[in-house]
Amino acid sequence: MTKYSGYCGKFLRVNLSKGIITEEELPGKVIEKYIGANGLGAYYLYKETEKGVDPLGENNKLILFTGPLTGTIFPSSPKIGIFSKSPLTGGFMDSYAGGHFGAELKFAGYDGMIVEGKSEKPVYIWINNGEVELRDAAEYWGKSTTETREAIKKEVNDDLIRIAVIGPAGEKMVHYACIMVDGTHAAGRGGLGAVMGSKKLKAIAIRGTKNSIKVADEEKTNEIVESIFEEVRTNKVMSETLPTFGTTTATLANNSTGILGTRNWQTEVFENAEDISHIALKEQLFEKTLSCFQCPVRCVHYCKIKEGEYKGLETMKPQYETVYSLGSLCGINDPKVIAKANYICNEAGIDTISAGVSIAFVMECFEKGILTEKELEGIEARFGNGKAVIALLEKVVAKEGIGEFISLGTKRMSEKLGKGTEKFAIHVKGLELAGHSIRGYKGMSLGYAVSNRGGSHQDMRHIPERSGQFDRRSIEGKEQLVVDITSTTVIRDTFTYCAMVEGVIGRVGLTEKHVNIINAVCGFDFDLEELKTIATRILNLERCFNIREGMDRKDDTIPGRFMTEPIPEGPSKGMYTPKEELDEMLDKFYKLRGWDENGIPLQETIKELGLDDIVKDKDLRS
Amino acid sequence: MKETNDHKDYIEVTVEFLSSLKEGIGLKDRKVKVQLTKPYTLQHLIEVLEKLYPKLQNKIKDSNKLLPYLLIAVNGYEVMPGTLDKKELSTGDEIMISYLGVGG
Ligand code: SF4
Repeated sequence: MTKYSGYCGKFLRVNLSKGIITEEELPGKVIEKYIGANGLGAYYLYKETEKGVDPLGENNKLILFTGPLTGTIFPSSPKIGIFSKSPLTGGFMDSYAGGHFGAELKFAGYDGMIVEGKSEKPVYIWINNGEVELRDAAEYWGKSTTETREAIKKEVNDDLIRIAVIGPAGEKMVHYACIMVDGTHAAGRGGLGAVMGSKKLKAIAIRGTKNSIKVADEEKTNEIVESIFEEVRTNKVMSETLPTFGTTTATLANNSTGILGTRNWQTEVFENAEDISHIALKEQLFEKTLSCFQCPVRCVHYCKIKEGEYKGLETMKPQYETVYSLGSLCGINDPKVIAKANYICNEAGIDTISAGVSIAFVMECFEKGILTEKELEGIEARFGNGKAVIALLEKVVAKEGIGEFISLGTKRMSEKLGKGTEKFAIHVKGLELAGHSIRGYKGMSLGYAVSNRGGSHQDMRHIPERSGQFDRRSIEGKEQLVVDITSTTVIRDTFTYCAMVEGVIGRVGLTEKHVNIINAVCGFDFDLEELKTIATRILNLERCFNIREGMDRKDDTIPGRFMTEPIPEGPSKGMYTPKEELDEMLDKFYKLRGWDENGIPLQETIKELGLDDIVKDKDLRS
Repeated sequence: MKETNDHKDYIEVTVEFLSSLKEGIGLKDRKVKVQLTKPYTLQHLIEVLEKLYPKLQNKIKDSNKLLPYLLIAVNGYEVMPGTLDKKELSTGDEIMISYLGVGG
């Protein structure tokens, strides 16, 4: 048992091939070096997988970890981190989901679990406080995420259990299948649902009532918690905007500054943005707000379509990223179509960002005559055609015919098609791009390019450039900005507080605030320099995972469109990031990080960070 | 051609309130046209808006200082915090005021 507070001190190892479940201690030395979710996920994934492991094979692992804040009185920190080698990128993938699942796991007595092997038949993991078993899931195979959740609740006769589940897309190993958590959240990115499906693991269900998570210094923790509650209460974004509109206010704000991805990023001004604004969504969809464990913000919206063809359909959110990917990016101006598409994704278990970007790619191929109506099985995949979006999504879920092709994601689709399509295949390292412009923010150009998971907006953050605090039109100093912001986001994902409250805790660079939080909750004695080293260690370990898989500088790039085609209209007209600019930023960034010119961590960097116990020279130089 | 500010008693600009800024300040439309006398600066525009919509102050300021998470853009260009008094406006300018959203 660990001496540190905020932990259960143990995790589960579930071997699906052998049907064996064991408990393992979470060693104090590992906690001190990696702290929580992101850190522990990177450590165990690196240590326990071999170079070249098949993401959908028996030897890949699916790793779940909470952070030390999860399940404590610390607000807005509900996240469960899920880690694996991604079938979409072939590299390190981490994705985080809110809800109550993470806290419930700790209340059941575990900080996380490592799922390995492959079951012969569909199963689910049932964790009932300290008792854990594999249960038959044959009758749930093929069912939607909601149907499965409801059926498992019935089976265990408990409506309050927490469940992570895959849908038919995960079972069929759609490369961007996600894991739905608690029905309200998704570990969306990078195809972790496909990894779960490859293991024939339909769900993980938890009842946790026996364990409570103590903090080390109650007085200090209470002081910090109170100050965060006060900030949430007085901050207009957290007390007004997020509970009223979620993150959907970004649609109009991005559009009016000319950085809203539209029609597969052919332009960044959407003439129909008003139709899919936060106001339109609120009027046409939003019913009530929900919240994650111990979160005063309540940014989650339960929706019901109020009229039209899909009247009565109930779904969660959609948030801004979905309005972008399945809305403006596909030229869709009807919130009801976006909600219906969001519903299909949630029920089948698909990442809405990757799904929307993949469909937008298909639409551009169709309009350019690269894919014909016949090849698309009669679907007229023009931008703006809502029926086409729905029909294509349904084909992806079925993974049949053209759906099987689209289920591969944009990178593989463009590799198969050729004909110059790689220029407008909108992904980084195979992960489809989130809704924050590469061309419109020089810092995001670099941040996306070097992100270990690829086209994620959760590593580099756009907000400091957005505010005008850093000039988004200049490359000046952006290498340092990316270092500072990504150090903060990796610690956010290691402690597991939500991205929505990162403004309260600090976005650009780690500060004493981060140190005070973790010391008060866990009883560490870290100083700021030590915490910075931990952040750098975790980021480097993820990087080493990717290098071991064969990635290097050639993969730290952005889609061709953004390097050669300036934004054609609107307030950001003319902006793009030519290759020379990206190269200049990369050179400076690698130097700051202690990597060679090919983006590979130097031996002294590995040593200084204390990674030489698991990262071997041959992993990086072969 | 863009009009200059010379020889005029006032200029007219459009202000768009995004995020939840419009809620509760007595505005019907999100976009309003505002006439601005000299000085034609963004700083002065904010002062005029506060007079026109008294409840706005509470939404954009704390202890009489603009909120650090306020996003102000003129014709799509974000204005650096602390430079509002230097930002000159002209007739026809479009000003967007929003909170910095998380957007993800
Ligand atoms: S801000 Fe929203 S997503 Fe984050 S913890 Fe709170 S309710 Fe959950």
